[in-house]
Amino acid sequence: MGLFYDFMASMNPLNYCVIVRCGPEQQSQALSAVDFTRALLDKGHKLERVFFYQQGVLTASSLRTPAQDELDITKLWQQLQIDYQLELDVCIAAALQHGIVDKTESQRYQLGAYNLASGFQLAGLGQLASATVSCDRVVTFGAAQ
Amino acid sequence: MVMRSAPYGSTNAKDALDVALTLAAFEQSPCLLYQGAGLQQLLLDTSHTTPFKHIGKMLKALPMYDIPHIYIDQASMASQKIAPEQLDNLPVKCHIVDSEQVAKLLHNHQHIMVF
Repeated sequence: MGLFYDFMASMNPLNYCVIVRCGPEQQSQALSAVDFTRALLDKGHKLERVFFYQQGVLTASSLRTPAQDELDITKLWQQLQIDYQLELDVCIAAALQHGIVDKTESQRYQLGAYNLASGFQLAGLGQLASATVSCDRVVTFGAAQ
Repeated sequence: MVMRSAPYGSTNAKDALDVALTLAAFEQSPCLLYQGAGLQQLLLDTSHTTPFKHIGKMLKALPMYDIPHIYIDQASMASQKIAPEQLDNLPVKCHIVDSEQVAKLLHNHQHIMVF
């Protein structure tokens, strides 16, 4: 059964968009997003992009320092990004609200510092909208109950 | 898009409308379904002021931005104790749908986002 499923999956690759709306401290939901993304790529599916929205943007802070014996969700995404050359888009409006800025935004608002983690990039909601046009599946993690 | 959150307990209401407006700008004709506590988003008194942005103004603008299809889940009206006459003066025109129609709506859309 497992083999058959794997075969089918590789025969019909789908185009996915993953939306992360939970913060990295929402451990199991945040980890499910990473695991799901790695699994779909391992099965040969295509991933258009990962879009971080709402509290999800906190994943992209380079200043997060979880305790040494705890999982670092930011590092897991960065490793996935390197392994698969992923596009990790962080909603710019939500990022600014949550205190996540890159160099350009830091200069624009004269903030004196920036903290967007490497591998992530700021993007508009348009990236989410265009993904819904081209993707077969849009999968959200951390949605409202 | 399924709107399930109370208006000011989180940023869900506004974040969802931002997504809806962006989808409309990309000609994706999003449709909104208000369910559960989300119904309270439609009932905000315009005279009542909070320090937060009033959602009513965004709602009023929806038809102008090509989001004409807005639905209210009938079953949620009972659970939220909302009488039909309370829906007489909503900021935007909404259609009341029963459970069967809700199922059809969800079935007929390619992507569903819950806020």
